[in-house]
Amino acid sequence: MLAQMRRGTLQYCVLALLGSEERYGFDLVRRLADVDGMVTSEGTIYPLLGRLRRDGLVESTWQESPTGPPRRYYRLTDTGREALAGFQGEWSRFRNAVDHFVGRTARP
Amino acid sequence: MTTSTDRIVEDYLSRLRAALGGLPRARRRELVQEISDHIAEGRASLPQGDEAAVRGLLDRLGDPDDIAAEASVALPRKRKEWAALALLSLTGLVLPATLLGLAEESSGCGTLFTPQLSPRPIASSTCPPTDGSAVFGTAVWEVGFVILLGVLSLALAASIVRRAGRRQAAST
Repeated sequence: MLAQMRRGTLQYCVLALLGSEERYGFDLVRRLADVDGMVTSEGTIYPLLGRLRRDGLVESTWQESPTGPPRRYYRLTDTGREALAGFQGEWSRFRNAVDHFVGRTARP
Repeated sequence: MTTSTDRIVEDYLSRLRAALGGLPRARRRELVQEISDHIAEGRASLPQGDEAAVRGLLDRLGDPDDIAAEASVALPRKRKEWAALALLSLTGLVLPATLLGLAEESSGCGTLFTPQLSPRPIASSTCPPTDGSAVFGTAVWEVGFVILLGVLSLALAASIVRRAGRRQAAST
């Protein structure tokens, strides 16, 4: 159950990370994984990125890296930006609703 | 020169390749490439030959089976299943039509499904009278036969799709 919820919301965290600037895979994955409770296996983010790309929510370009092989940079598409904006509104309503029942501030 | 850390990485990648065996080849190649780039990127900032650090990097990536499970979520139906579906739908419509055509050909009493390639008597003496209502009656019967088999094969196809869907849901 929690795994499904995490999977459903993780993609929006990816979109949100790409909201301000484009990022390459390793950078993106590390930023997600460095926040406790977000992902358990970093490798599972790559299939998700592929799905977002095929669904047209992100696009990628190859760019030279100063240190090694070329890097694949991901950025939001207009569709991705719309999906993120839609989720942001829904999420704050949903979070408040859940907090109402199970949050620390909820009355017994 | 192959170092022990190279071997650890290569071992991980081959386990990943095996776990991704069910994916279409292009998708598998792309995913292995991305994970392999990730490892290269991570190793660049580690002290060379540090086995423990490389193992840590791979641990963070996670079990290849978990990556494969994530990769097969909402995977498009396998090519084999599509082929089976196409074949079923095709045979459900084409096969009965062909059989009817052959039957008409051999009896020499063509109505619907006989290709008019060679000049021949449409109605031989053994044929039932070919007034309008008789031809119409045969046509109704033949079309009904084709539709019945078509519906049966579509029902079979639908049950295959449902079974495949359940299998996919169970595996995620």
